[in-house]
Amino acid sequence: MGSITAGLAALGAGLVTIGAGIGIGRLAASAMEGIARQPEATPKIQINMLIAAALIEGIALFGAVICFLAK
Amino acid sequence: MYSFYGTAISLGLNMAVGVVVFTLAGYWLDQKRGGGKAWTLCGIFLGLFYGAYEVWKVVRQLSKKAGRKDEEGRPAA
Amino acid sequence: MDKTAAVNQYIMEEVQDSHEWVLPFIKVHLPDFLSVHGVMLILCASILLLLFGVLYRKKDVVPHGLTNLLEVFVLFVRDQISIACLGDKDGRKMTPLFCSFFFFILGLNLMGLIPIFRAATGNVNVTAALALITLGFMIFGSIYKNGFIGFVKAFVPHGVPWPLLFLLTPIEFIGMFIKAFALTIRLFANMLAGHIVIFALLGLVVIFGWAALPAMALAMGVYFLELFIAFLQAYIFTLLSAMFIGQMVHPEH
Repeated sequence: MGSITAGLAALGAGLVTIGAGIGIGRLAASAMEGIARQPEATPKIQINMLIAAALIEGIALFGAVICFLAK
Repeated sequence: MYSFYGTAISLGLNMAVGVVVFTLAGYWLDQKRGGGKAWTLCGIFLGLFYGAYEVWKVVRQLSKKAGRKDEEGRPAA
Repeated sequence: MDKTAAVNQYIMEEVQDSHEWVLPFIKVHLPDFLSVHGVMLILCASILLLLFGVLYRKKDVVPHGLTNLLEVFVLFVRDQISIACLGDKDGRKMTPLFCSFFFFILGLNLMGLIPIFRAATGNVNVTAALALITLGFMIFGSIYKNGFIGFVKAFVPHGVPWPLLFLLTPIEFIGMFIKAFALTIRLFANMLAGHIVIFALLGLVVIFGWAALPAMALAMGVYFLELFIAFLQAYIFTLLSAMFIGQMVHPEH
């Protein structure tokens, strides 16, 4: 585990996680605001939020897999 | 309703695992045929196509739900 | 050996499968046909047999005590997971399978958080075996219910122009295996990553001494997160198993 390549791969995976965290955090913030403004639209907002979160998570996992392969 | 949440939960990982599986299949085909990277690229492309196909199925299901209207003529939940 | 290598060796020992069970002052040497994770599986199965076979009183009309606690979870699995995904009749028939999945995975996850035991769901073979059970039910349940022709017809998508069907039907078929594979990787990666993070944070205290004391607080936080994730991952595995089996056995149009 003491090689530079492995260290850089781990750093890359961490950066991917930061990106995914920021993206899904902003998504959740907008969804919360939408639900707070109009509570009767909660099911629609929830469904769309889950789909967008799944897509962002897909991208994050692509990045994680590439970082794992680069090790 | 829970089946929809299940689809959304599993969508991200299904896309990533699909890309990986197809890429590894392409890589294995490359090894068997002596070398080069043509089949690996085919595998990556097929994996991305599988990801887009899953998203298309979900969007189709959503638009079918949005096209329905309940008894009073308002859009269904 | 220097401290980093010692911490690495400790993490590898705690997380990997081996024939030696390292307890605080004893080292139990296991015979050839058992390994540490195998002992965990046997222990969890025995605890479940004890809880549900012996201690669960079926004769009371109104349950109280341990029976009441277990009944909350059993009814949750039956109503929200099994009947919601498979319909009423099939849901009631398949409830024992999903209850077994839920309690077995929950028991294994929780046992991984107790210091003496190891996390057996952090072993890819265990999660792969569980996902193979789901795959078997998906394939053979669908063949049993819909016949072989119905099984093949479930892979043909609707609403596509006919030349694309030759590409999409094999992709749908491979997609079934991808779904099962994603089930195993989701549970395995969640459990393994959680345990490695806890041990690595505690290892920081070994390497850096007093300066790393906030790492202990962070490790406590991650430990409680792991407790929540143990329940969540058991629920997600059971829910997705039920959903995939339901999609194959009752294909919607």
